[in-house]
Amino acid sequence: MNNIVEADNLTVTFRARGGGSFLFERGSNMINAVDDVSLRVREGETFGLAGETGSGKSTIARVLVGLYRPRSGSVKLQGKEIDFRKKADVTYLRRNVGIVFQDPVGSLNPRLKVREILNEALVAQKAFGRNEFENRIETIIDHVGLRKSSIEAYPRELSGGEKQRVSLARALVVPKKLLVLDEPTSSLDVSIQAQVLNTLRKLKSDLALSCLFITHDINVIKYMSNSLGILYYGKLVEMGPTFKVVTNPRHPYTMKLMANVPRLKRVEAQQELLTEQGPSPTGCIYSKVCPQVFEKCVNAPPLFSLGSDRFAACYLYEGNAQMSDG
Amino acid sequence: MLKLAQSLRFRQLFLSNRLSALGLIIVLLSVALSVLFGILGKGITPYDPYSLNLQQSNLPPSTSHYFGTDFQGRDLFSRVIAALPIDLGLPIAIVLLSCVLGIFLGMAAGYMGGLVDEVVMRVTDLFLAFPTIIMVLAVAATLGAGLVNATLSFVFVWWPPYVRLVRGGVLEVAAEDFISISKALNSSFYYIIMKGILPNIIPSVLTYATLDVGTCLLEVSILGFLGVGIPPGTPELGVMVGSISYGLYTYPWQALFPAFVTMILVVGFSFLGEGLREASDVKVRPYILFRGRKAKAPKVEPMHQGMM
Amino acid sequence: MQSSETANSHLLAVEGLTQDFATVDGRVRVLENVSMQIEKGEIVGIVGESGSGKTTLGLAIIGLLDSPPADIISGSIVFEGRDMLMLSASELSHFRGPVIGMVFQESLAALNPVYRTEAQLRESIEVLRRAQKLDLTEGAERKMMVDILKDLRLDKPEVVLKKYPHELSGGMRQRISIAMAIVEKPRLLILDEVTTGLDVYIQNRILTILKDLNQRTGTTMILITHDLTVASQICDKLFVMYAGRLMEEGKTQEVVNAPIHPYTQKLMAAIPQGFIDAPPLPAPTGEAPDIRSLPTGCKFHPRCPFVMEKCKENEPPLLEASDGRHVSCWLVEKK
Repeated sequence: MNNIVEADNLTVTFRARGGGSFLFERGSNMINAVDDVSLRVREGETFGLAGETGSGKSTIARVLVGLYRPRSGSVKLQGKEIDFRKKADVTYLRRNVGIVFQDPVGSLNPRLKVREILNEALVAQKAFGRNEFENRIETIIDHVGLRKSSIEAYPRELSGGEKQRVSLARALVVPKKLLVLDEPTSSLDVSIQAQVLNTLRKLKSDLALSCLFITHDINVIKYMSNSLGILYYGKLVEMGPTFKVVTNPRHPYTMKLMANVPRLKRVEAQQELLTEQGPSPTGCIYSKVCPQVFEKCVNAPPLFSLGSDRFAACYLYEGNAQMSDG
Repeated sequence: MLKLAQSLRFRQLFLSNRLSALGLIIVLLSVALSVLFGILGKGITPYDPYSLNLQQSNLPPSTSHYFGTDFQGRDLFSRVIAALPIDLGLPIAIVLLSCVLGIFLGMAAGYMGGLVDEVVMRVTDLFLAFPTIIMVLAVAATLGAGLVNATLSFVFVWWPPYVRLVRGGVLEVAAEDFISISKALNSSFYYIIMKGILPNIIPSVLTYATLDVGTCLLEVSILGFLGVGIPPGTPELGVMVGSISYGLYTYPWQALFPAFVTMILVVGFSFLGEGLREASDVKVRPYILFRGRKAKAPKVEPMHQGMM
Repeated sequence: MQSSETANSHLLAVEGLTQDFATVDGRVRVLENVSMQIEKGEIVGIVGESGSGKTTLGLAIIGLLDSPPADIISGSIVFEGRDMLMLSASELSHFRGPVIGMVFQESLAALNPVYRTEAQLRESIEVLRRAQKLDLTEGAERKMMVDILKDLRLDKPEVVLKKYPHELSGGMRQRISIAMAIVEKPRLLILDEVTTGLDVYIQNRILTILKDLNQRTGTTMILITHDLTVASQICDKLFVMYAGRLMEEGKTQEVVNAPIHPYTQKLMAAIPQGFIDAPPLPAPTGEAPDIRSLPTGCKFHPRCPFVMEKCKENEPPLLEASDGRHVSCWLVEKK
């Protein structure tokens, strides 16, 4: 099976918020929002990326649509390496990767009708002739489950769920190789979320989509993804088939995370909460709070292979091969 | 540009505020009169606003001269009408030009950031430091008399607030998700500016500009009153107030009527601007809280009237 | 429902509350005949999606709705034996804060951006001081602030006190909003969507803190949320609202293990369970109705899988399904 996306050793750095004017900005104060992350999205599959707020998931999403430039590492889209300094490469990336953000309201220009919003995508991506626009719009509107009348509506006339569907339509009106979804249902009510997730699943099979699904909600991600990657302060700590990662987590952080997933029928919130301590500045990023920390953890661990596509960045599994080996 | 549905609701909301409806009426009426005068000239005024008629000078208001006459025998009512094109045209032109300049510079500063932003903002700060009237006088003195020069002198000091306003608006809009998505869709720079950012800052600029016309009108008439920039003898409300010859108590109507008309015009623009501000705020909220408006549905007697 | 003799034993008894809201499109009925009883020391969950009226109910209880445009048509809100709706504005203002506190969703908007945490808390302490006529030294005040932040599990409270709102994360801000409300030692705390917008791990933390607080201080709490899972974590009783009406109420365990109202059932079924091979979620069809144009009869009937003829004409009242368990559904009548 082919990989739609191959990201290797991706590092994205930001200047910490310091304010000040252009002329007087202080030089260093960089944070690694994403630190040496490697992942693969297979064709036709959904790769889930989970983690707490600030773990770097959204940053990866934006790199994949060419909104952020990585400081180092490589991104390949269907085998083609993307050079983020070359306009043509970034255009290629944007032409083939679509994105949906979390906020239904902020994602749509309030001054434009749905038709114009979709037109923008069609015009900018130059994939269809003008005479085909109408047809494409109607097709995609149908696919995402919106009524035809929505085409002439303004965003404020639509409900939250409908707005997200418009964002979906905009991402897919020009067919894409990869759809990146950044917390697409986190701002929606539970029953609307269910409807949108159902639509996403249907779209995935109808259009043979490959997706990168980002969320903090493990219940959602285990329902929607084939493979799962866990991020902690910019580092990928575990990766593997969703079922295995959720039911049998290997990395100490993943274990803590899974124990914290809320279940409906539990009345006492008795789980051990995640800490707020922050990342460890040296060595393994989780070592500051890890219950199983030992001497080796003073060095940052690579991703060790645990067999059958499972990986964990933890010295507990040192005997195994590393991801970089294969 | 406004789609019909949008404008229907817009009018419904903003005409529901009686004051802003009044403002709209004042503005539309005065603009209509100005245009008519521009086309038909003396045809629409009871008397010739320019010709002197010294036997008729300093007459008090009467049925033949509604506002009385000035010291040179000209009918004040006609002169006031003749003044409208200038007293409306100049401020509108000044505000319009300042707007355009402000949008151009503010957009550059806000969207491009970095050095461009820095340079534009420092220059703006510089200009903001100048005292308005003095600068206008200085520039007007340099350029010489004439309405066009007067307009330009004003624009020289009038544009800075617009740059700040636009820049602020641009920064706010550019931070929105839909702009990021436009970039992710590879939309052109032109598209993002013209369809993404501009339509979203126009409402606030328009509101400010409307209010500003009133302020500008006052400043223009102040200059007219001082006898600077605007050539003496031009029908202009400030000039008319300033040209009373024997003091306010001798022939009060010569100053009071033009001043009163000035006030009405300024108030008209202020009400209109306020109405626009309320209407554009309200577009965002699904349920509008309004004051003092009787509900259309049959009123049910509330049980606990004095709750709050 | 309850006889007037026992009415006084509840901490809060809302009876038949019906409320209208005046909008540009005319009067809209936002709450219809809502009744609920809350006992001292309970944590109660009001669950409803957008447009259900849950926030309006919360605001009505604390008296934060302006009378035009919100008009109470009928009903009463009896707190500790006193009908809140009969109180004057000034009497009511004595209630807000020291007796009934409220925390809102938008933590960033709730905190004044130009004040540090200590200044925000100082404002609340001031209210407490006035209400209880306390005399606090600066040291005692400081200790109070640090203690309350510790209760909310904020690391390094001294550091947090010096920070401005924008320097703190969303979860921390939310906890500070809660702190500001708790400092005034209210007997009833209303929390409106305080977990929304935060990731589930921060939600867990906040819920644990609230439960802790309730057990230690006995503060009665009303948790308003659209998320049934969140409510089920710490609430003793649940009230499910839809289109301004109460649809189901009962002890959390009972409601969650055996939901009776079809809407509650649908709400629970909409929660994703299982993995990628699981069948599509049995989500409710359609969307919640616009409260400006509600259907006749039972407001849920257009989306109800068990709809009967009766449901289209007549709106069901709250019927007793079992002891303490009420459901607004004609299906219950059959039993």
